[in-house]
Amino acid sequence: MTSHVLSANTGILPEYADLIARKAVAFTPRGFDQIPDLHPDLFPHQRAVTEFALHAGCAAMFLDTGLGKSFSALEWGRVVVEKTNKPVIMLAPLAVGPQHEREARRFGIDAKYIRTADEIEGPARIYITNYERIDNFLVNQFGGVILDESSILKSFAGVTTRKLISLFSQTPYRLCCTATPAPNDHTELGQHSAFLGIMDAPEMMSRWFIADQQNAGKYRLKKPAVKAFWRWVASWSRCVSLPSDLGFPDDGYVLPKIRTYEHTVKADRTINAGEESKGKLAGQQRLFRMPDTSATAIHAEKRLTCQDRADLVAECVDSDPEEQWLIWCDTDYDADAVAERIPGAEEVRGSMQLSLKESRLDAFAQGSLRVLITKPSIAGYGLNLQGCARMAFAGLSFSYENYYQAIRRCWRFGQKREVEVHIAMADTEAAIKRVIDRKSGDHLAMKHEMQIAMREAAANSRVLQTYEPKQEATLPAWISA
Amino acid sequence: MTNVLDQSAGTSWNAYNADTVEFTAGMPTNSIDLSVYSPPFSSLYIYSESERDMGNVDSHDEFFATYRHLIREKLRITKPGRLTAIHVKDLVFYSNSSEKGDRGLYHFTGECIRVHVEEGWTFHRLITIWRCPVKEMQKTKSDRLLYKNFRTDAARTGGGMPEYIAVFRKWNEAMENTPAVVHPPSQFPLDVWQEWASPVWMDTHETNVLNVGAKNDEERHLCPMPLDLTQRIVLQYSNPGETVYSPFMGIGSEGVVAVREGRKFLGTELKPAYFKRAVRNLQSAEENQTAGDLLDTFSGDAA
Ligand SMILES: C[S@@+](CC[C@H](N)C(=O)[O-])C[C@H]1O[C@@H](n2cnc3c(N)ncnc32)[C@H](O)[C@@H]1O
Repeated sequence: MTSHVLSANTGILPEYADLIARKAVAFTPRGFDQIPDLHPDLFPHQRAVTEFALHAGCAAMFLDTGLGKSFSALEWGRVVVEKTNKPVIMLAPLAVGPQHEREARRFGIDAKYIRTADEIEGPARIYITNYERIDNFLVNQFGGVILDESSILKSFAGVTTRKLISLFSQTPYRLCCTATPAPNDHTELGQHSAFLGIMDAPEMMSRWFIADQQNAGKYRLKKPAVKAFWRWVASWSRCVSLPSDLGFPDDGYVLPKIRTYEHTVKADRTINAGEESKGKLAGQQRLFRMPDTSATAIHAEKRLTCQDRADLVAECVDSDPEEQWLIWCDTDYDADAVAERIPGAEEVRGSMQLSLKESRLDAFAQGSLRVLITKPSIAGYGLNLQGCARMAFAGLSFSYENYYQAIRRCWRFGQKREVEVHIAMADTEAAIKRVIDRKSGDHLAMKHEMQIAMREAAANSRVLQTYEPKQEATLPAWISA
Repeated sequence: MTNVLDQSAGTSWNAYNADTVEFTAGMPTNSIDLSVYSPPFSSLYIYSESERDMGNVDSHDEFFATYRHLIREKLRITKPGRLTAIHVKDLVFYSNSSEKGDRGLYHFTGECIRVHVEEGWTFHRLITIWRCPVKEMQKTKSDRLLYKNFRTDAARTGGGMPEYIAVFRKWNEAMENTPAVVHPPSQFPLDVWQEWASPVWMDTHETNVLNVGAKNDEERHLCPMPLDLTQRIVLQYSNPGETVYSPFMGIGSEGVVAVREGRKFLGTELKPAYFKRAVRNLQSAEENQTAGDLLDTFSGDAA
């Protein structure tokens, strides 16, 4: 596991031993010493992360959308197949699989998208399938595993994630690929480190994190541990937002503009106005509803404004009929309301058959479907939809992660045009947008901090020498108490 | 006893290549008469790539989190009523290492005092060691010392940085049982005392360090402790034959003084290269001591 070895005698000072362990721990690479020539089309940053991951054996590539992590991952898989002569399995979110197969073909890498185990035959190669289909396969036949969009683990139930971790715990080569995690997202980092067999999440938490006194149930990095923590993360991952994070030029990696339009519905506040609960007017009927930000109040508000928001979305879509539109909804009733108003629109929702979801998502990606209605939790991760430059949110949830990922489907490297994002919301929901905006600010600030730390760490990811004294000390005779 | 990387001994000294926190924790209670040393000045210098190097830390907090353990164990092994003396100074920081982007001083000395007191020591004495600001300016080219700034923007200027020796005492009921440290007037007349009692030592030399013994290809120690300072502390605060301890002995400066002054010495050093040099220095100090003939181990001011 980790490379630190505590000598027996630190037992006398458990607290000190703990400090030292926190400082020294680094992951020992267990991959290939000799890395063959990699694909000539890899960009320098892709080459660097691929080499790093092959050398590490078990590693994470945190590459922001559009930096080409699937090509890097496929190339990693190709080398593992070649070195081990065993197939590699790549797990991808729904409908992303065929996309990867196309990409592999483009670069001459042997990878096949499959749904069942019968399709495994012939020489060892990369097999791509969906997370949902993992039960169709016996995993011990694979020499390596790639988790594509691995941050999806977060949206799985705990049991599913635990199952994945234990299924692959014996697989010698493991790779996780996803966008740069939110820096305070220790759950995500912990899941990655556990999946890769580097350290269990609880151990990671107790080493570097402390329960936040102000925020029950929340953890934050211990102050003296900040650098040490990122240094450790850098020992098993590479984190890239722009090629310059690894010292390469950023040419060609400038995103087009994004424009956000907010459309507000004036909610009728006389409905369900309720009655005063306190004060001398208690019990009296109120004239206006006083929405608050509790989950139940927000839901009630959303139901009240559902039709109006759907009208706004439909207006947007109608006013720009040449364009493909991606409509994000938060609830099924929002989706229904939007679908009723837009002829030809198709929806992808959770309860549908896998194959139907897949074919609709693929149709949209290929450009043959004009309007797609879905939820960030279903299609928000992994898909490359940069052919589309218009999206509308029929409503927002408090999840900044969902919002950010949803936008990133279209607003990514490779997008040639300005992206328009339309948000329909009721004036009574303004609080949600404010929360999203604040979280977005926090996210950027912390991401910056993490990038600096990771960049430094990657530049000199020196591993401290461990201290292993073997000789028993003898004290002089003259020393006495 | 604790395990160490390496060890060596003469008749009046024992040196250990070890992590001092672990080593000190394994030492018997009330076994040391005096300790004198320079700790790593927080993260100012990194001495080695070892995870145990206290200079190899990311922050002052991290430094004190580990140093604190030594301070605690040092109290336990010191005889009741006796002292520990540490040689320290304050640290200058610059905008590039500061969150606020400001420039100023980090009161490292004050923090050391605070942590010693927190761990149970009694703050006993603070000696200010005068250092020449002109030499400091030449050496550091510090913005704080430039005449140019003094003429045009004097708010930027500071002044010279002194060194300090902070002394702490283990205060405890059993202290009457520990023999007193005594000074026969024949050897230590009043004027010696008056000089040593001075709150500011104006007459010691920063170049008075162990310098010989560094072979050409060996790296010099980054900051050896001046011998003249050590000598005064050893003479004022211990009797001949008593045990002096240096938890961070480096190339052995405190040990050389202790042996030369007829004390016993115990020291730990983490870095194998420094440890080996300390052993050589201690060996030659002991030979010279028995020969009664001191070679010129001191580089002196002229060097
Ligand atoms: C300020 S220097 C002391 C120099 C010494 N007074 C001399 O004159 O050579 C601090 C020393 O502490 C050593 N050191 C740092 N961490 C240590 C540890 N945990 N245990 C033992 N020595 C350590 C460093 O290698 C360095 O030589």
